[in-house]
Amino acid sequence: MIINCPLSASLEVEPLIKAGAREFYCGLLPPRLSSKTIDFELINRRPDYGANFSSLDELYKAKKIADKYNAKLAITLNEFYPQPQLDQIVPLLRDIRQIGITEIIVADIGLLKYVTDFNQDLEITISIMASVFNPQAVSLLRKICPRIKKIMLPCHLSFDAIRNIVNQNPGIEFETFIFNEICHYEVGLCNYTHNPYRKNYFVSIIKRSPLLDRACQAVFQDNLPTFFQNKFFEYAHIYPCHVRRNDLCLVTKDPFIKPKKNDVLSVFLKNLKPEKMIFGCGVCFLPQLTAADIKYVKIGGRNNSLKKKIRNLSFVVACLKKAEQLGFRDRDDVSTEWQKLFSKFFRCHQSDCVSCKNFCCFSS
Amino acid sequence: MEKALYIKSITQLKSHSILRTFNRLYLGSEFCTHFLPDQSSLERCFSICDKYQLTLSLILPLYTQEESNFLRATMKQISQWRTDTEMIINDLGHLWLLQNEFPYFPRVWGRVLTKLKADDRLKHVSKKEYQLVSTDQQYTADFLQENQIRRIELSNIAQGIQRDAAIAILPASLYLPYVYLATSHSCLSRISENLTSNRVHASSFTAHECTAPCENFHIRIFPGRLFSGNSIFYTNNRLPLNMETIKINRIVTEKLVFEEIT
Repeated sequence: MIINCPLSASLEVEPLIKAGAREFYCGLLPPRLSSKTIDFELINRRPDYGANFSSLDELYKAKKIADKYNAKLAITLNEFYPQPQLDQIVPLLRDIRQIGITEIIVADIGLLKYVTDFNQDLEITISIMASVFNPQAVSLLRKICPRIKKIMLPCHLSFDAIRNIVNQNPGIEFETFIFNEICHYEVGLCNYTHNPYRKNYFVSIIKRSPLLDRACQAVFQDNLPTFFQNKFFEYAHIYPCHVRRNDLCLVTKDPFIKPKKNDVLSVFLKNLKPEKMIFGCGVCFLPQLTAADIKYVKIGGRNNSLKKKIRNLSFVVACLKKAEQLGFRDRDDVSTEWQKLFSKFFRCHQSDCVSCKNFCCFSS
Repeated sequence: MEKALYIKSITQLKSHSILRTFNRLYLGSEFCTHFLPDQSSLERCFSICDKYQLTLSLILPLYTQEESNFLRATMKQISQWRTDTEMIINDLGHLWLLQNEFPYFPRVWGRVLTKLKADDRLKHVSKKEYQLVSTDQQYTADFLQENQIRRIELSNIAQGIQRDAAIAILPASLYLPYVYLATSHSCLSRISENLTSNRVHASSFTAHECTAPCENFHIRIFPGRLFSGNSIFYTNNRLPLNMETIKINRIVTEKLVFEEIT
């Protein structure tokens, strides 16, 4: 199994390869586009500076180092582009091709068609944003572009669903997120924007209307460990995934029905503990993913520091070794093994990190 | 202007008199296969449509291979009755199925695939980039035309919609009053139900063994958003002023399962 690792600077390539990375994905936000990006998530779903290469030169350096180690590098272009945005992407494609990059990650059908018609030499990975849930969707995408090399599958799919897709599409590789993908929503089905460029703008809105910073994700902060609370408060204006228990109100079919002890409605409020689903760890499913013939696993976090990227990568590498040792076994039988491993790499604030059956990305 | 009523289940209709004000009925849900109508619902639905001279649009839900047989069976049943039933495509797999197995149904590009930025905070941002529709792009427009897509479905996003007249050939429908924001892989209604019954499985868009607790409650999230089943919406009742220029010729009035229609 090959680990696909996030990248945002040329200096990161060598240390990450030494830590076990064999493939990289990254974004590019050259200065000529960055001023436009302030107002639109033009390039990809992580349009902040920390998550993207800021110049072609820097990207070229990274590409050269990656080539030295035979590691691959793909550019993420996984937004959906109306015509003015596509007009900006087309010259960017020419630029990245000129520096020798041959892999792109796309979600937009228009871009896919454009690349199929005019950039015959580019290798294509279908992004998680394209929401490929079934074999028929794969067939359609392959009809549009027969050169698709790899497809990123959504995190929520069951193993049976993954197996069905993989078995019915030989000759194509499949990939899935394994770590650090924290979104509660199905990524391709989220229409929120979390453009950090808008930080100051949203802060000014929130000052006028303080309630606007909370939205959607039912991250009930009363239940969150302090570590996460701080993290989410810090980014409250960027990520709209911010709901407090007091903001919630159940609306029942019959207004005279009041929630009783232990009924569905009261349990909903009391027992939902989404701290288990925001960490985005799916490593204990590695044996099952291997059995489902998934060849690539991806780590999220392009805007993480190098230190954090190395730590996450080392953890997943260790998990892959552990998965080989354990073989295909029910994850309940070996849950303590994964817990021990997790605690070794992270200061474990969630001793039950692998018991997240209700909320885990890969619950099946 | 065509007027359509969007219901998830035929049982929502407590009284049929309201249907006199509509030309079309939308049935189903984009986000859950549980609301794919079975044979008896379809029969009832077609008889209502005949009585009130409505045309039916079936909203196809996101699906995995496990549900594909049910989806196929539903489409097959419909094909035996009415091949003019519009199919609203919300998953790329739907288009493949329609092309290869049910080519006679009229096709519509659903709101899950039109990919509008729907963040309600954007109503404070009067920038054109947030108002554009991603299908209004030369290559996507060509693709839609090649695949006989007749119209696109749009949410009534708070920041307003703009379309490029040169590229935007297809007419559009506008959904009121709920604006679709996001869909979770964990259905919160089902999680809550499963917790009470000590079951652990609560994932996906699948409807296996689901008792549809979302039919009984939804969760209002202050300010103004609501969780219904596995998806989140906000409300925007204000109609855009540029309806004609953005080629909207159908208004779809959406009712959540929770709302009974009298």
